[in-house]
Amino acid sequence: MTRVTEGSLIAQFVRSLERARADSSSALEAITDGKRVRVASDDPIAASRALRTRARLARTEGYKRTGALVRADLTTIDTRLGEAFNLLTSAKTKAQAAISPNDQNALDALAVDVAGLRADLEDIANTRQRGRYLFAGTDTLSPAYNAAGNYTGNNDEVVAFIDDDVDVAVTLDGEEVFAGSSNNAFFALDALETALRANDTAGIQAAADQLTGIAEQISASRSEIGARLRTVDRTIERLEQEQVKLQIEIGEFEDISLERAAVELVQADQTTQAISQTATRLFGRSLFDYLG
Amino acid sequence: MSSLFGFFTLGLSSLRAAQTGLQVAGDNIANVNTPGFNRRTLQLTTGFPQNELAGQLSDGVRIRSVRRAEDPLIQSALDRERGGLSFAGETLRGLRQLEGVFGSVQGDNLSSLYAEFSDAFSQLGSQPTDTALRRNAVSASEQLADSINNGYGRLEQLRRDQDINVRETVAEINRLSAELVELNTRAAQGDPREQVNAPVRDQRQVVVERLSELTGGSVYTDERGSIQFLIPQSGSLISASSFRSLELTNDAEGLAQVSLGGVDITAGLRSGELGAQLALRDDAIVERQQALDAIAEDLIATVNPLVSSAQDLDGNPGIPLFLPDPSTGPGVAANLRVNPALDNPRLLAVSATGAPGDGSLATQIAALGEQVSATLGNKTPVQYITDFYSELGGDVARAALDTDVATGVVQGLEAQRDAVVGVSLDEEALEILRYQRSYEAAARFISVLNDITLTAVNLGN
Repeated sequence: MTRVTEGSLIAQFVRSLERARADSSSALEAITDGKRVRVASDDPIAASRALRTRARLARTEGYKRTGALVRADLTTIDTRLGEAFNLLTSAKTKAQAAISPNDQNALDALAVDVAGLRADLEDIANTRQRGRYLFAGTDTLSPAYNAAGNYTGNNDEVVAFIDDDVDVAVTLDGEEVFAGSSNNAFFALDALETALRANDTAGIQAAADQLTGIAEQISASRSEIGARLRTVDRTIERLEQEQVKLQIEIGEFEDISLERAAVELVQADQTTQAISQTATRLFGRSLFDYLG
Repeated sequence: MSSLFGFFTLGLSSLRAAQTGLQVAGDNIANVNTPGFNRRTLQLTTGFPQNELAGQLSDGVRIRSVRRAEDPLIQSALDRERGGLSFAGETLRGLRQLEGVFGSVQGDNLSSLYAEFSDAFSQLGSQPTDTALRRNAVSASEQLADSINNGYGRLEQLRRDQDINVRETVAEINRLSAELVELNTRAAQGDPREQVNAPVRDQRQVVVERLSELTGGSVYTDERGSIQFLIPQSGSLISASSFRSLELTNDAEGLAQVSLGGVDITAGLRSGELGAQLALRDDAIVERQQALDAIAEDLIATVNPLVSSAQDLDGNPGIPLFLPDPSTGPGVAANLRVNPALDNPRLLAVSATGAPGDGSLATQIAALGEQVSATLGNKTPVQYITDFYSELGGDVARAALDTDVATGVVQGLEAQRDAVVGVSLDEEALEILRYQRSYEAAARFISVLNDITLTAVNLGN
């Protein structure tokens, strides 16, 4: 029969108590922060997956932020193009009104209106958002058009990635929008103003025809922006869904169920009590008690 | 012996035996918690034979010896396993410190900082003229570089701390070796079969256990009871009456190299606390420093060519984002920093065409995290960093498991040893009772003798 000494029993008691206390501490910590994995050694495989998923989540959040900025830019472009379309429609209406017999005073008044519309269109073409000209290509720090109505930007696009394989142009080629197919909107408005002042019916008609072509061009650009906005919205929606999925995945890797942690805490506590009571019984009596 | 006075001698021997028995039990009880103490047992033998009328009787009881309980086989296994346990425990402590350098899974860590770096450049790609985003990209680069740089520095500090541990451990081994030789000499005096010099042997056992923990060495006991102590793959540290000191020299980095008998044994020492300290200092920490160097090299080699080929916000040629540039080899991570000229974020070059709205190179930098790099062993930076964490975590978890297993083995052997050499208070209580009763009986025997003697003396009256 194996001899069991007090030294062995005490060592075993201390080890058991330490283990139970460690279990209590671990369960309490889990309840406090709800985490099962804090450092990689807690569960190297889960930690590795959690880190990869967190990296993907960070990228997703970044894409979402970029997507929101892109959406803001495209929405501004869309709004401004709508204003430009209305403006050109208004100029065309005035031109058609001027083709009917008019006295010069009325034509001069229309010319003043057209000059005002030209100034507004220049303002639209040189729209800035967060310090950037949206219709100047990648030359975003300079106005797209000068006072004479000449395009001063370039024909490149500022492109933003809003997901790994989804890139969207954030700017529009201002030359294509306002001066496409040799129909320069500013020149057309200048020509209309000049024709109005000269009561040049043929000139008015020619300018009106040009404005029709430019308005169609702007309308086509709006359609393109609308398509881009739909891409952005779809991508943001997908990113949001992915974000939720990734957060759930991270939770599965890192988190502990509170119920389980609570049960483990109770178990550890009961173990501690059982060990203590056993020790009290075990060490409470000795043969020395019977020595007289 | 047949004379009445002879019976007194018999009673006296009985009293002496009982008294010694009580003394042995008292000694055992007194040392119940003394490290290295092995329980003693009183060895009694019958006295010299005496021819009596009724046959042969002894002249009482003789104390043969006080035996120190021993189990050399278990003790030897325990000493060996103690070396394994202290290696695993010291490795675990060191690796936990290493893991602490690199942060938690949830907080700021290399992986999250690399993700923030990529994100900052991704956003800059769509808004390259935005000064706030430029500043954010430079700031994210600084945080990443600082994390690598500080991580390397803290690893170097841990390496130096381990070097101090190595020096202190070697000094302790040499001190204990000298002590063990002295105790060896004292323990070998007298007949080893009689287990003399038990207190010296107890003290020697304590020294051997500590030496085993420090070196993971093995113990051999010769026929004289002298101990020889061998360090694995390094030779004899202690023979019966002499020892060889471990010697320390400094290498080019000022780190301690350990020699025994003029032979450098640093690379071969991988057992006990000393082995763990050397393994941490020369393997585990260096491996992580090399990983940080690789990440730093990769950043410099992949990001700098992109920004250097680009133009800044004012159309000027780009300047390197990370310094030193170019740089390869050990210690790159220690010097990694962001170019201080980029305190002016307009100088951050991300335009391939020179147009300020062109952020195509920022987009390329943002994508580098997912591009395979030869510097990183054909892994992407994101994958390399994730693997770095999981491998370190795996090493810590393995060391924890090794420690648990070794603890179980040592505890099992300790229980076995304790079963043989440990003091049981119940047993000692019974011994006390036994010798108390013996003493009382012997005393009563002498008292009766006294009465009989008196009766005999008074026969003539």
